[in-house]
Amino acid sequence: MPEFGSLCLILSLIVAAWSLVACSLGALTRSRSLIRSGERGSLAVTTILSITSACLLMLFLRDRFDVEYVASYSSRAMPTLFKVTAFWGGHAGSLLLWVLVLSVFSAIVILQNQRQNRSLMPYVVATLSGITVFFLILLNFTSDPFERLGFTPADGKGLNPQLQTPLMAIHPPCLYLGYVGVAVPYAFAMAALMSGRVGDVWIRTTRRWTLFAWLFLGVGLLLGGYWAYIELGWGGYWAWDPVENAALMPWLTATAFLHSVMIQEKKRMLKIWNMSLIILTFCLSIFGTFLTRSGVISSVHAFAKSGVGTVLAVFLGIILTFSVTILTWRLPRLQSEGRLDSFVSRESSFLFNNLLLVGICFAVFWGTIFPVLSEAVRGVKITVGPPFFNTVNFPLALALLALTGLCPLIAWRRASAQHLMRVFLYPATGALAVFLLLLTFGMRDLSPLVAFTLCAFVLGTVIHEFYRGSRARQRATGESFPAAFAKLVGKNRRRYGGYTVHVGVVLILVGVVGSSFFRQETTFTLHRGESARAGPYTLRFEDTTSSSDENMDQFTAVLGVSRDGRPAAMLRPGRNFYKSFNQPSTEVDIYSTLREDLYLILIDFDPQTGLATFKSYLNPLVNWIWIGWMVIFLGTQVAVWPNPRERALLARARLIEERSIA
Amino acid sequence: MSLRVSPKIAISLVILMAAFSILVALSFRGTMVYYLTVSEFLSHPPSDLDGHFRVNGRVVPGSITRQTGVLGASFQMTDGNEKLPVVFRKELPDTFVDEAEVVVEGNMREGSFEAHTLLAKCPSKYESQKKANYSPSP
Repeated sequence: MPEFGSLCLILSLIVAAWSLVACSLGALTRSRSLIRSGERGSLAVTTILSITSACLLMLFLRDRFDVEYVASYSSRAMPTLFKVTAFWGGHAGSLLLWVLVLSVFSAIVILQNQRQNRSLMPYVVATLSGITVFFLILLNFTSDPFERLGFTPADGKGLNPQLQTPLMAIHPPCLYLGYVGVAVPYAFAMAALMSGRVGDVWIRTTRRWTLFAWLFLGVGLLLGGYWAYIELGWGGYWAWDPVENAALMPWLTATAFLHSVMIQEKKRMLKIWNMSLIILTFCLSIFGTFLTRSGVISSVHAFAKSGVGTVLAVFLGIILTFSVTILTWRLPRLQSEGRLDSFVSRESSFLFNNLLLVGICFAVFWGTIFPVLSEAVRGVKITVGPPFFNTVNFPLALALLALTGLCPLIAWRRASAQHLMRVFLYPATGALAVFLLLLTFGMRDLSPLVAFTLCAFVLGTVIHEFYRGSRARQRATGESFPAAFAKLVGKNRRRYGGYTVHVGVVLILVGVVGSSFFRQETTFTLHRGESARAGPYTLRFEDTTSSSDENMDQFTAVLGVSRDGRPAAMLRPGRNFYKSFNQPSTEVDIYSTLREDLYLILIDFDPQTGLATFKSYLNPLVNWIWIGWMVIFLGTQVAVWPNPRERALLARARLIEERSIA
Repeated sequence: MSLRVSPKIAISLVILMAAFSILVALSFRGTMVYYLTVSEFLSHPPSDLDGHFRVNGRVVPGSITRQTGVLGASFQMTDGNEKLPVVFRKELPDTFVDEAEVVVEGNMREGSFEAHTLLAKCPSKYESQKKANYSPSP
C-alpha cells in the first residue's frame, strides 16, 4: 500500500502539471477544449489526492510501522482518534493535508464556475494548479510521507503527548482551511489582472471565499489559543510565538481586505490597494506555512528542520515577483474612479482602519523576523518578546476599536455635524456612564479604563444602529418591532452580519483586557486536608488518585473549591507521565465562570512528605474571548448567507465588465 | 495614482505614519533582548548588556539535580563548547528534560547563573530520528 501512495503522489504531480500547462495555453490560444481539459485534470488531481490521503490514513489505522512517517508519529497504544490526527502530526502529512485542501477548493471553484466567469477561469485554474504543482513537488521530492524504513519496528514512537488532545483534530485543519482558502481570492485576483477584467467581478465572486478563509483562519487562531490555555499550563492563551504571529498576520491583512473591498464596490476606489492586500495576504499565508517548517525561527510549534525552508522561500519569491510584475503591468487599468474628499467620511475611516490593520501586521512581522535580520546583519541575535508586541499593539488596537465604533456611523462622502450629533449622542453617553461606573468601583489604571470605555462605546453604537434601523423600518412599514428587526437584518445581511462580528470583536477585547491587566497568580504548598486562598476562592486539598495504563501513568490531586464559604466545584489538576516519551505533562483544571476563571495546576507532589505544590491563576473575563468568537462565527454566517441583492450586484458588475471589455 | 486624496488627508496620513514609526521604535528600544549562546555569554561581560539578554543552550544530560521540597532544579547548559551552571527556583516546564533546548533569563550570582525565567523545548521529538532508534521486530 505505501508503494501505491507514492505512485499516486507522482501521478497527481503529473496531472496537476498538465492542468497548469493546458489552462495557460488554453487562455493564450482561447482554446475551449484545452481549458476544459485543464479543468478536468484539476478535478482528477482532487480525486487522486483524496485516494492518496485515504491511503495514508489506512497506513496509520493499520499500524504500518514499516512506513517511516507512521512509525514516527503513531504507536499501537494510541487511541484511534489520535492515529487519525497523527496524519498531520508531522511535516510531510501536514503538507499533504495542505495540498489536499487546496485541490478540493480548486474542484469546488471549477464546479461553481462551469457556466460563469468563463473568461477568468483558465487563469484561475492555472494559478491554483501552479500552487498545487509546487506543493506536490515538495511532497514528491523532499518529504514523501510514504517513505519506507526498510524494516518493521515493533512499535512506533507515538504522537507527542502535547498533541494528544481532541483539539488536534480541529485546530490544524481549521488553520489550513484558512491558509489555503486565501488562495482562491488570490487566484481570482491574478486572473483579473491577467485577463484585464479588473472590475469588481473577481471581488464579488470571491466574497464568500474570502469570508470563509478569514473565518477559519480566525477560528484556527482561537482554537490554538484555547489549546494553549487548557493544555500548556502557563495560564495564558497567547504568547506572541512566531507561529501564532504567522497565522495572525494573514488574518489581519484579510480583515483589512474585507473592509477595503467595500470601498471598491461602492466607490470604485482603492483598486490597487485591494490587489496589493490580497497578494500580501496570500504571501503571508505561504510565509506562515514556511515559518513552521524552515527551522529559521525557533518556536514551540516548529516542525523538525526538514530542508524545505529554502524551497519555500524561493517559492515565496516567485509568487511575489510574479504578482507584483503583473500588477505593475496592469496599473493603468486600475485607475480609481472616485476621489477621497472629506476627512470625516466613511471612505477615509475605512482607509484609516486599513492602515491600522496593516500597521499592526507590520509591527508583528518586524518583531517576528527581527532575530533573523539582526543575526544576518550584525551577527548578534536580538529578540523582542511579548512586551514589544503588547506595547506596540495596545494603542493601535485601541485606535482600531475607536474606529470600529465611529466608522459605521459616519456617512459616505461627507458627514455633517448634525448627523454626527444624532448618531453619537446615545453611544457616547453610554460609554461615559461605563467610564464613571468603573471609576467608582475603584479602577484607576488608565489603559484598561480607556479600553473598557471604548468597548462600551462600540457596543452602544452597534445596538443603536440595530435599534435605529428597526425603528425606521417599523415606521415605514407598520410592522411590529421584532418583525421589522428580522426583516432589516434579513435584507441587509452583509451590513448587520458585519456589525454582529464587531460585537464579537468587542467581547474578545473585553476578555483580553480583563485577563491581561487583572490576572492574579498564587503559589501554595499543602498537606492533605489543608486549605489555601486564591482571591475570593478557598481551595482545600482533599486527596490524590493515580492510575496507569500502557500509554501513561496518571496522577491527580483533588481539591474542593469554595467561594465565599459556599462550595463551588471540585478541581482535579494532575500530572501525566507518557511512557514512550519519558516526559511528564501538566494537566490543568479550570473552574470557569463568566466573571473569571480559576486556573489550577499541580506543580509538584512529594510522596514522602505528602506535600503538594499548586499554582493558581485568577483570569478575569477570559470566557468572553471564546464567547466573542462564537458571536463572530454567527455574524459571519449572517454575512455569507446567499442573498438576492448580492447576486443582482454581481450580475450588474459582470455586465459592466463585458461592456468595458467590448 | 489610483488613490487621489485631498491634501488634508495626505498630511494626516504622513503624521500617522510618523507616529507609527516612533511608536515601533520606542517599543523596540524598551524591549529588545540579546539572544546569546553560552560561549557568547561567558566571553561578554553581561553588565554591558544592561540586563537585556537571554542565554540559550542545551541541558547537559545527567546534570539536572532536584531537591525534594524545593521547586526548580540546578543543571548545566552548553552550546557544545562551554558549560554554564544554572539555578532555577520556580516551577519547571514539562519540556525540561535532558538535552532539551533551554533559554534562560537572569544574572550571574556566586559562580552560577540564577535564572528567573526558563523556557524549554523538547529535544526534537517531532523529528524522525535515526533509524537505529527503533527496535526492529524479531
